[in-house]
Amino acid sequence: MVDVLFLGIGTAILLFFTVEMITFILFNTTNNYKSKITYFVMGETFCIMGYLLLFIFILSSSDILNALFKFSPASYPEIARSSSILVSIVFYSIHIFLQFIYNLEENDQKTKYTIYLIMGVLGYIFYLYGLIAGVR
Amino acid sequence: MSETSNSMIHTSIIMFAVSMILVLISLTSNYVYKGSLSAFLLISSILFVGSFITAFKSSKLKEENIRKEAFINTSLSVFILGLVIMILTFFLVTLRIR
Repeated sequence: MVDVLFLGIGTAILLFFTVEMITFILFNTTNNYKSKITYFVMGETFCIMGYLLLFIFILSSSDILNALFKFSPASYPEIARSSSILVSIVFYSIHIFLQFIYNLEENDQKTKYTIYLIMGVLGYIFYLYGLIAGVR
Repeated sequence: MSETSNSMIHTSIIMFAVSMILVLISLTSNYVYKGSLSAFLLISSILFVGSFITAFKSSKLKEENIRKEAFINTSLSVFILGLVIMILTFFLVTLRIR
């Protein structure tokens, strides 16, 4: 029963972050100001929802943090999964911090937007790696 | 436009509370599919939280411009997505499709 719960939530997190990646592409390929802002706000919302779910997922599942902090030796997939998900949480924290402080969709914030984009993509890659490493 | 964002804040808080109460009820019940039911309800409650955060951001904006309109539109669409997932959850669980 626990497996069903975590599998469903992990897939939902992946769905939210994928929607955010697609809105990045849409944001950078349109010139219309109104649709640019709509895409950006949509991406922000989905990123926040995925981050909240990721946080609940990490705090509620005991084995992910246990694999890192227990002193007995753990298997490689457990260590890889928990450390890469923790790294992706760090990247997404910077990502969300930037979007709360600056208006990143304006034209004069190009460098900050680039940092924001790189943080999001790195977080996505590490989350994907964490999911793949958990598969046996 | 500010009334719309205020009413979106209220409705999303109420729906978040409703879905969290349903999660608690389903977790404490003896139902066979309580795991999948509570997982999907948790996802829909997170969608309501996202709708609340977006509506809150739109209520913080003073002037009425395209940004505020985009925030309200996103909040409404995410709210409807949460409702759809909540209703679909009950259908999926009562039809016993896993």
